[in-house]
Amino acid sequence: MGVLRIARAEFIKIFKKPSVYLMGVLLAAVLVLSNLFFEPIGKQNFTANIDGSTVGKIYDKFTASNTSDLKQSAFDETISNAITKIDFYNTINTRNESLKLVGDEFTLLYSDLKLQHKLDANSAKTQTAFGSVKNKLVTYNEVFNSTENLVNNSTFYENFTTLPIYTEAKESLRKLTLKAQDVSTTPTIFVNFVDQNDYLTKLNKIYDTNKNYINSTIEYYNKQIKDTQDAYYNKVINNPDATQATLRPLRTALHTEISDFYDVLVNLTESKNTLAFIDKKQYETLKNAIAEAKSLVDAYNNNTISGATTEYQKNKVVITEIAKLSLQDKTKALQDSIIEYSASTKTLESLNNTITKDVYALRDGLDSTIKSLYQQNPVSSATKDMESIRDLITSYRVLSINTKDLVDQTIDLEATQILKSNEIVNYIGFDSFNSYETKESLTKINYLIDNGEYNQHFSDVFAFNKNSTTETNAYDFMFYGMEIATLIITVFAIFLAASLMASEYDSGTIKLLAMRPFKRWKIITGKLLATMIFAVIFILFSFVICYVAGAAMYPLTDLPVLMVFNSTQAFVVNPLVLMFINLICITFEVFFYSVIALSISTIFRSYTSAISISCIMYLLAISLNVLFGGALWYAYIPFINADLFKFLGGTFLTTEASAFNSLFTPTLLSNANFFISMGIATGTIVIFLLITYISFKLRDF
Amino acid sequence: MSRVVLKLENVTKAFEDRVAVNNVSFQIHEGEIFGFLGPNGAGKTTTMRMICGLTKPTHGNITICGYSVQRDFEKAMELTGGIIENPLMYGYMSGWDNLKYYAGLYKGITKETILTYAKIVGLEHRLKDKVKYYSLGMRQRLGIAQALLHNPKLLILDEPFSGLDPQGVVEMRKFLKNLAQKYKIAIMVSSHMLAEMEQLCDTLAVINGGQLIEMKSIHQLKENIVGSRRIKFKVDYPNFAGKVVINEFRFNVEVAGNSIYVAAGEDKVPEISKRLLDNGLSIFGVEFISKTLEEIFMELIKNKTKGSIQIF
Repeated sequence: MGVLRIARAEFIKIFKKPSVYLMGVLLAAVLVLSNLFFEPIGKQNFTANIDGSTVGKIYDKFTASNTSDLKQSAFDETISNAITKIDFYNTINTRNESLKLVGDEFTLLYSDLKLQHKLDANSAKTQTAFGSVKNKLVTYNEVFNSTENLVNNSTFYENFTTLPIYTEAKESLRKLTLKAQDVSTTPTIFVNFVDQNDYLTKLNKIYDTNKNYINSTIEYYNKQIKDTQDAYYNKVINNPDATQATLRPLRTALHTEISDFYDVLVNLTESKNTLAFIDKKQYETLKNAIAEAKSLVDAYNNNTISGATTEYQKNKVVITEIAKLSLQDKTKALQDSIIEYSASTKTLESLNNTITKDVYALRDGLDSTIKSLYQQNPVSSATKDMESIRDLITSYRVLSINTKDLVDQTIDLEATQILKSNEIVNYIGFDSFNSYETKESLTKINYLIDNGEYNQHFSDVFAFNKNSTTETNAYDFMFYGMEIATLIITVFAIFLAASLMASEYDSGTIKLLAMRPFKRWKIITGKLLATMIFAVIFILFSFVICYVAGAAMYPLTDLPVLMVFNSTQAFVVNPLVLMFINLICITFEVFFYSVIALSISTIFRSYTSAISISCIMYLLAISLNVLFGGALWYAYIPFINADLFKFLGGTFLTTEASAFNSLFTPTLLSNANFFISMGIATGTIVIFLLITYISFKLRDF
Repeated sequence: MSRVVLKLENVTKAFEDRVAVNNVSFQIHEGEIFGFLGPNGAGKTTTMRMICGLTKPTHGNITICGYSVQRDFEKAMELTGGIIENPLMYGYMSGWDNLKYYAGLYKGITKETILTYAKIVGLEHRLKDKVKYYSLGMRQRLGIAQALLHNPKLLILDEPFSGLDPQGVVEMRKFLKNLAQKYKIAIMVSSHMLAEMEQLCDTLAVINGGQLIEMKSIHQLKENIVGSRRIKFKVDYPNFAGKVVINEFRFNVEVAGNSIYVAAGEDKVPEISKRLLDNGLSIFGVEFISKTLEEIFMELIKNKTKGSIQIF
């Protein structure tokens, strides 16, 4: 009761200050002005705009084999590509496991055979052991050749299979099998054959080479370039009389190796299936160095090397410049940073399951609905029918896109799990991958597939200066206006909370207040409550302005919002409900800063320090977002975590956002978590309040 | 016996470097006006701040109508009103709004009540004006009005006469006496204005160096004054004159030089003079001597605080 009475009295007092009305006018003015800067980023529109005057014509374009990418077969192909991708990773998994298993078994069986052979070369036991080895070799071959179908799915892997390291292994295995299957081969001959040619070591390498084929490929080219480079270098440096005839082949060889390596590197990141995590910086450094080396040789060939007159000098320039690039060191650095990955069999199984069951069921459902619409009335040009068929085709398209994203993102996410957050930032770069947002997107896609829905039937979660539906709607403006209003209201609340306490000290009225029949904590709480009532009134006031202005300028779309809470749970809510959730989040944020301002003004008894510290904190929270959005320590700064609305979605990658937009668009770290943020924010509030209560209680007036 | 409203028992307030209030005990009854006298830095305000709960005593108990200020703060403060060190109030608000703000902190204070008290302190014509335009005296009145709003049993007034004009002082005195008599409010007043305190208070306490030096009712003090009254007769035979006065009147007589000092009131001058003349004595001069309250207090302070040279 006491608290409420204080709050009421304080609240009435607040409105006796003329400046409060000025604040209201200022707020309204800013909201009106902010309208000028409202240029929302559009939402990606998946609507299939197939023209046609009748249902039949649209249907024809959808099914017939013209060049349109809006045709059924293209969508089906996207879905089947997703399946192929799953297969690819599955094959890699199986092959790796099998190769390891078979390799180990073979080694074991062979050592048995060798032992048995030593004891008695002609015994039946030796023959049995030899038989087992022979059988194992057959399996070995089968497993090894099963990897051939990987070639179709990855250009990078295709490249790998042409390398000598691969072909030699393949050849060894072939020769060994032939030898074993030759009727004239006795255990003794076989053992001698294996030992003499050191096949066991060669075979043991197969598993490693195949498992780390990216590293093996890079290693191979590294060695090739080093060898050709050295040969060329030695020829140029040590033999000033070297003729063009002797130098040209060396130079050409180097050029070939460098070009091939460059292609391989490009392939590594642009390959159909992402294969590994690569440190972006190391990758770019090496790629640029290789490109430069290539251009040096090209310059020679094009006769554009300056500062050199004789052929010898030109060659010397080329080789010394290439040596300066220290390609080998850079390759080594890249190799060290590479983390190859493959999705787990379990994940792949569940993905496969989702697609073969749910996605195909949805696809078939769409297919038959479209067909029946067409069959019922192919000549209809009624708006209703035309819209229906276009909508169905759009859904078809969205389904295929979602399926592709589902597979890509699931595999990306699983792969990044082995990386720590800071590694993700280094490896992929914050701008292009964020596991929080990927999880969020996956939750959304899974919700859509599980419920047989298509995302064009939902609105996005509001984001600053961004459309939540394909057309700008009133809620987009409301959210935009509220974000700007929050900035102003927070500053107002800081001023107010600071002055409520500090002015009592200045005028000495704190004595009159402290001798009222209220415990000290009630005074603080009452003042805080009054500030919050004031803030809530301002928030509602802004909301009414934004609502009226928004509804006057744009349509009030009632498309439900598909939001994802804390990246794991999808909910469908009415946009107005989401808007109220936003208002609650704003209130929480204002409360956070009010507590800090009140706290500092109580502890330091100074209006100025309370306002400056709190305002600086708030402005830092906003601007740090632009500067350090990706840094890890950033997430643990208490005042960054006061804004909780971001955990409902609505964030978007900074690549899309201008500086103005970034100011208001919180970026989320890969490791972001609602409960941690909430905990940090609440903990900060509790700590500040406790310090305030205690210091105010112990204070003499 | 009337009820005890405020009771201090062995109250001590020690700061890090000094003892501001040392083992002070006293009581104030309902309807009593208690004057608290002392030089600057004597511990007057610190004592009052402790009574109002603005600072905590190091030792001792303070109770208001039986409620401990330390333990039953809210109940004790329900019964207490006051002003300490004349605050500036909320300058940007009118007098009326200031009073309304404080009224709002209690349950059921009506506008009429606020207006009544505004009238009592004589502010009814200036209530609409912003407090920042008020004079010191008006602010003082506003302070008293806010202290009375919730009908307290104990009123603590720190220097209520400062900033008031002579007429204001008289009005304030009447007003406080009325409060004490009519509403049985116990009032504790601190001041340096001795003459005012003498006229206003029922009890006077003197504090110096944090210690309560003397506490007497005005009656006792008046008796002290009466006891100090003397008539000085300058005569030709002082020893004889002394004997005459002792024999005839039984008054105390002191002889010094050619004068006698008779412990009696002014009214006795004609009678004693007649007797002396009748006995053939010549009177060269008559002088009436009386100590003032001020002198009495000066003595108190000099005597009881050894070595202290502070004089108010």
